[in-house]
Amino acid sequence: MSKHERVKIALEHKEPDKVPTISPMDVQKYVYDVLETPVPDNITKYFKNPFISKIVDITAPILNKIGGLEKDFRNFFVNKMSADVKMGFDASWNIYANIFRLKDSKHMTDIFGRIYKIVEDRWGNMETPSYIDGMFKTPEDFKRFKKKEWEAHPEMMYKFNVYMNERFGKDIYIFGSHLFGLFEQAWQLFGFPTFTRFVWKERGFMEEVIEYNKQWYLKCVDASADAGLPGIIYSDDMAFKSGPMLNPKMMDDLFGDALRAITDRAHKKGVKIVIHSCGNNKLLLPYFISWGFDGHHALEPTAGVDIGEFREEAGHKLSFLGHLDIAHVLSYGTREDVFKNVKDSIKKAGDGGGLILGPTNSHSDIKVQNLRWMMEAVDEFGRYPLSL
Amino acid sequence: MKESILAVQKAVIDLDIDGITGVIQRCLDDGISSGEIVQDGISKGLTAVGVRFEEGEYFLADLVMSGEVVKEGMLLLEGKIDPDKTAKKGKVILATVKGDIHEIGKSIVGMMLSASGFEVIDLGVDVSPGKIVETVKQTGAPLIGLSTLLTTMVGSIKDTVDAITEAGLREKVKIAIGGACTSEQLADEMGADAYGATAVQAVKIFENMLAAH
Repeated sequence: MSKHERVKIALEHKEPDKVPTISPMDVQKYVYDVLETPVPDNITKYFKNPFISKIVDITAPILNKIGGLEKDFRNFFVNKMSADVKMGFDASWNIYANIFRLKDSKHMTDIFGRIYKIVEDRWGNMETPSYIDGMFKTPEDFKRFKKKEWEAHPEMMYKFNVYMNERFGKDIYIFGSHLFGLFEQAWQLFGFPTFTRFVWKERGFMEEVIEYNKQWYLKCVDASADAGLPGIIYSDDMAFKSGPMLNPKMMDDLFGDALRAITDRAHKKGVKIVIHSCGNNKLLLPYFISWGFDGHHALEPTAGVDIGEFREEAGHKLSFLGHLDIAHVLSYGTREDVFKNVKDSIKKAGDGGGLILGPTNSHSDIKVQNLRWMMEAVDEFGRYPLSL
Repeated sequence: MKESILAVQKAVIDLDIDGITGVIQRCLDDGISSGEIVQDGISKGLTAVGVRFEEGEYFLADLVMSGEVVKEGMLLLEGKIDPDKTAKKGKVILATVKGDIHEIGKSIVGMMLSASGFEVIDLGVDVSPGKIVETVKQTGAPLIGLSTLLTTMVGSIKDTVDAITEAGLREKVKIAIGGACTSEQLADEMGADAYGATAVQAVKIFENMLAAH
């Protein structure tokens, strides 16, 4: 059975030949360990030099025009897909991450209005920049913000997706993805306290923001589907480990219709769409179903997610993707730990298809060896019909 | 308890950002001191919000909104509170560890601790182990809360615990951890004393630690 068939059948809640696998989203060390090459120097590596750092503080806008960051992010995701194919994963995330711009030598912004700190993992490699706050504190700030690059993003995403599909599409099932969904696009541009104030006091404005983002996200759906990618991961963290960040009913009131429009567009284009949300989303599962998602990705064990309980709750109305622990098992665990985690997950949620296993999220300490054990364990325990 | 104080509690519990200043003003007009308004009105309101969160009626946004309501109300009380007349349970140092800049969870813990009568020393985010050691020495705080959201930064918890031990302070302080990537197991592995899953749990943990101290 081809990788495409395996993933497609699993997403349709039928049993393929074996449980498919999905790769981590973005881990530099994993990628270059697999490719057996050193991690390339990102331009931010030079910013530690105090002299260069001062120059960057002054010349950041010019550097943004030259586009050094764009090359770094693009090359990374091309290399990541090569690594995913080499590892033998059935499915991979494909993110067009050309959204970051230098603010100064220590900070970045993005084309939507977030502010980030430039951070490294403990190996000294650049990580996905760490979100600090939003640029906007009033509705006027948002309205005044120049959205030229924001508007242009889907077209550029489409071109990247076409390239990735032509180069890797036969070798792996590619989920197109954009880094942020409507909820994150609503709160992160303002910061969470300002966002909550708007929800309570400026509801009309918040609805305008959501509508704007919906129209824009529909273009991102097109950018994946029209490029021929068979699936989309709609990435939108809605929960912490204590549960949803917003009352689920309020989440539905604010975002439900927009999300239904997005899943509807994907389905009309023949594409499966899965929601990635970190944290414990148990209370949101009925909403994920009613919003039209085909699956849920992440299912973090450290957020108390029991995949068996989740299956009981959602039945076969949602596929489950990811779930394997990265805080310990895939980073520091033994072969025994990995085999146990894979076996338990398949036992609890593998029957009848609808399960695609992989790291629940990204972590710079994920070890290639542990991922290979994961593949071995899936081969051993994940053959259909299951006999666990 | 006077009706106007109960109205302050209710405004906090109902997340009534438009009504909070009116009810606080009413308390002041009734001759209720700022300290009483904070302790019997705002703090009790926040405690009730915490209970609703624990019981699943309120969510993170509701906790944050209760903080916004309190901020709005405190504008009216600024400069009117005598810190010496406000009872404090004990000092707690809060910090998001080195390398991590996530603030929401820690701020909510700080808000709930303050509401419960602790004196909170919030060092902010991306805080070095050295800074925490220095603050323990300066303030004599017996309690420390370390937060991290990023799985990649859990090593900073261990670095902080190690720095406290090396400074000869480990026996004098109790350390609790919290944040998206933390767990009971991680607390053991990193040499911390406790793990709290929510802001409300954090209050109970620090109260227990203080009682045992």
